[in-house]
Amino acid sequence: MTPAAVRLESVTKRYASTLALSSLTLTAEPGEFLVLLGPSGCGKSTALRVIAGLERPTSGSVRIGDRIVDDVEPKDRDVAMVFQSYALYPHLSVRRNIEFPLRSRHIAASERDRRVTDAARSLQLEQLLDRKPAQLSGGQRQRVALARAIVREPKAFLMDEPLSNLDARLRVEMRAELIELHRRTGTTVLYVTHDQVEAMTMGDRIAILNEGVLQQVGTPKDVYGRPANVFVAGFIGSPPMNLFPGELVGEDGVTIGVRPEDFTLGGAAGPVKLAAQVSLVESLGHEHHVACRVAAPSLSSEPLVLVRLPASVSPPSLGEGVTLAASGPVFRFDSESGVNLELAGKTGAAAGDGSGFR
Amino acid sequence: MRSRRTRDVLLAYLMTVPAFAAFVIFVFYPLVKTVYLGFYRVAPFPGLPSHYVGFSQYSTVLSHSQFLAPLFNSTLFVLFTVPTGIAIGLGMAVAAHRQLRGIRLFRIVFSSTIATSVAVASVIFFTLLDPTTGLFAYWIGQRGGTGLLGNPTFALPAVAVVSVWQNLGFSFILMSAALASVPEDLLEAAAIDGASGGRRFFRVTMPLISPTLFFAAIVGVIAGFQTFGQIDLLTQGGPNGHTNVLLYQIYTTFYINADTGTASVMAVALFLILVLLTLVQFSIIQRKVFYADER
Amino acid sequence: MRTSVRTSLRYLLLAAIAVVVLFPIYITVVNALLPVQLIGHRPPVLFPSHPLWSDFSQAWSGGSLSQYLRTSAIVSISITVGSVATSVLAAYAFAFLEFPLKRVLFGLCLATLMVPAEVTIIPNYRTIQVFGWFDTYPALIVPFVASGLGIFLFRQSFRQLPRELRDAAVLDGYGHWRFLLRVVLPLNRPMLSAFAIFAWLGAWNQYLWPLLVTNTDARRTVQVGLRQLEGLSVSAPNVVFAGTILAALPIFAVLFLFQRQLVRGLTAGAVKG
Repeated sequence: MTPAAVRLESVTKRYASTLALSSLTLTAEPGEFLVLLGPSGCGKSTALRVIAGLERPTSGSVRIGDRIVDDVEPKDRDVAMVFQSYALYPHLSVRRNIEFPLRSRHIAASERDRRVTDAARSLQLEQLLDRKPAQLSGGQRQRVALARAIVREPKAFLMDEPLSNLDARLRVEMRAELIELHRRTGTTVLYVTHDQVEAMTMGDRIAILNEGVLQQVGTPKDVYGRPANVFVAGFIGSPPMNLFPGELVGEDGVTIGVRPEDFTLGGAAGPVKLAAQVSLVESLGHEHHVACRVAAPSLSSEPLVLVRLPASVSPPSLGEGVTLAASGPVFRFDSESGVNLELAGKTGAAAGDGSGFR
Repeated sequence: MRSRRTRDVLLAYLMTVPAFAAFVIFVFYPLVKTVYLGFYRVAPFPGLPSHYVGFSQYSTVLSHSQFLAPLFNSTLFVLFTVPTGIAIGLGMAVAAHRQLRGIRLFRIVFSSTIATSVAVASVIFFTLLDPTTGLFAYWIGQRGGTGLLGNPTFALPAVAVVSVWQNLGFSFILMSAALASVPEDLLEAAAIDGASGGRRFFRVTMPLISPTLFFAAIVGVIAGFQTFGQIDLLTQGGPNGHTNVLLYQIYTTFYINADTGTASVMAVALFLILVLLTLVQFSIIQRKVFYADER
Repeated sequence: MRTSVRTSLRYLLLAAIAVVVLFPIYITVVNALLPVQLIGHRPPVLFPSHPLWSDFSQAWSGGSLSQYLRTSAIVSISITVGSVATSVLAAYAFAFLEFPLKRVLFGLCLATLMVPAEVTIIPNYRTIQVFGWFDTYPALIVPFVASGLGIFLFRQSFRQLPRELRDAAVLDGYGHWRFLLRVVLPLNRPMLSAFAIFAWLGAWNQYLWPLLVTNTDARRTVQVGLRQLEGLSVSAPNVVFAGTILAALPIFAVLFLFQRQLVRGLTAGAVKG
């Protein structure tokens, strides 16, 4: 099956009182692994359900390949969906579950068997074909759900948080397996998650949504290195980017953002320098997280800044006074709109040169 | 997709039509019709038209002893059957609660009357209570005469005994399920706190199963007001009307005396009594569901 | 030592209860096995030394018992199948479809629970006459082929299915009928069988309605037939005993086979879990 592009064109979905999607335009290119990322309730699952045809958009349209599918039944859209709860039929064996989508499509028995065998082999399910879902582990169930999607040889896979019911170790394993699967089949994948690590490691591109509005689409490198706005900046990266009012460094009307790994204690002179006091030290083995309270006489509360130090550096002690210096990129966002001022081009010259607090 | 939605609506109506056709013809229409029939007085001789008398028939019938006496009998019958039925069922459930070798057999025996119908139970007791050949007469040293069922004082209690026996199985199953739903750890905690067996039962078990007790009571009261078969098979309302319960009175008024108007008025009254009881039952179930969710 | 005494006492108590519960049934069986002249004998015969099986064959062939039982079987099975079918369909619509007046119609379903059949016998009796159904199977069956309780229980049960199962079936091309048959029904078997056995029991035990709408032995159910049988208590008491046992046997058999479903059905709504 040749992979197809999947395109949402100004799709709006309104429920009784809430706006789940606000004029979303987004394209997954043929064969692309596109991740829809956002907090719960941001509309990412709704987008997937609209593509599948399970929900009808209030306005806008959906295109799969070169066909507008707004009036096409879900079963004829040629997309397969993998659900968070796996949605396996408890009364059917693994084999019957996998072939379930084929049985409604009048596919010849021999062809059906071939496809089921292929799917089972590619997901190491051959030994489990006669079991019931209740006799499987979480990871195995996940594989069955994937197999059920694969047998259809669809133009695109829609995956709705498929790994969120797995424990941490299995999730890492399945992540690798999904990437491998995508490489092998070359099918377009739209993958919904709230886990930014999944998004960063799996996606060719990431689309970040918040409250039904698309915030940014870009490669993992893009959204990390050039966040479009405060929301993306705060959402991507773990631990999250430090965001504090520009007043602290004498810049009014902007929000300053520095990632925890881009701070050093004392040391070299940089564009941003803050006097602070260590309030918490967490040593994780491979690195230290140091939370510092910044002295801010001009503000009503003292902002907390998190610094990530490599294990080779010995961490400061609790209560110690330190000077925080930015050693990496410093982001500036409009404090009203939240827009990244550098990308908006408004203060292109000022961004990054740190004028004003040298 | 628009057509799919229309199709779904059509399908929904198609699927609900069979049930609703039956409801309309055999539940809603006759309910309204019963109220309506209560407005018409039936002529004393067959063949003459009945005429509209409005609410006057309601007020005369409902204040007349032909309604009040059966209502009293039904109430008495409920008082005889419901508390005893629950108490005995609970006692049997407690006796069979402990795991013992062969307890399964006892549980089957205890539930066995569920397999008797009202008619079967009535015929069995009819023969037992027969004044000439029945065992009961032999035990109390009497032979001949009117027997218990012909005795104005004992007829209704005797019918009540038949009903209680017939319902023992149901009551036992219900109470056993209730006991089984009491968490073992609560009882163990009470035992560790030094509560005696009786205290554990009354302070822990009883409050926890009280919703089921209420449920059983209401179901029992509703069933009690619908009593018919026992009366028809054992006493036909006699002696001298002492076992003439409400539904039996409706039956004779309608079927034997062909007084549709009077029978309809009494049917409406019975309906209102049962609705009231059902509403009480629903509110209890809802509250219980709430408890369960909280726990 | 003390515990063994307590255990013995416990068994004694259980046995005493068992005797009281079973005695009426036992003595009926005994009398059914006695020759007619020993019935009512003083002192009473509590154990048949020479059991006589002829009473049963007499009750079976002499009266109309076999006819009653056949009618009861046809009626009760038809009511069970009918009410399960109509309830499944309506419950599916209420659980999985969106349509105008859905809430109103469901409210009406619940309302039927408050209208016992006893209250509506007068107009229903007339309706049966108008339809020309007096003393026919439809009169015994059709008024009971819909059940508000069934619709309510099935809808609750169907709604427990995860929504994603329905979504997956939609994507896989399964329409409502196939989803109902392939997924919903198999997954709700416990509730279906519990309700079915409960509905069957209720139908089998009906008394007042069959009494009203039948007047020949060909259409009398066994419960009403017992009334005919009772009339023989003076002339042929042994046949009455044997007939009562035969009338009760099918229900014993069915309930023994479906104990678990029955208990689930009876306690649905009364006890959580």
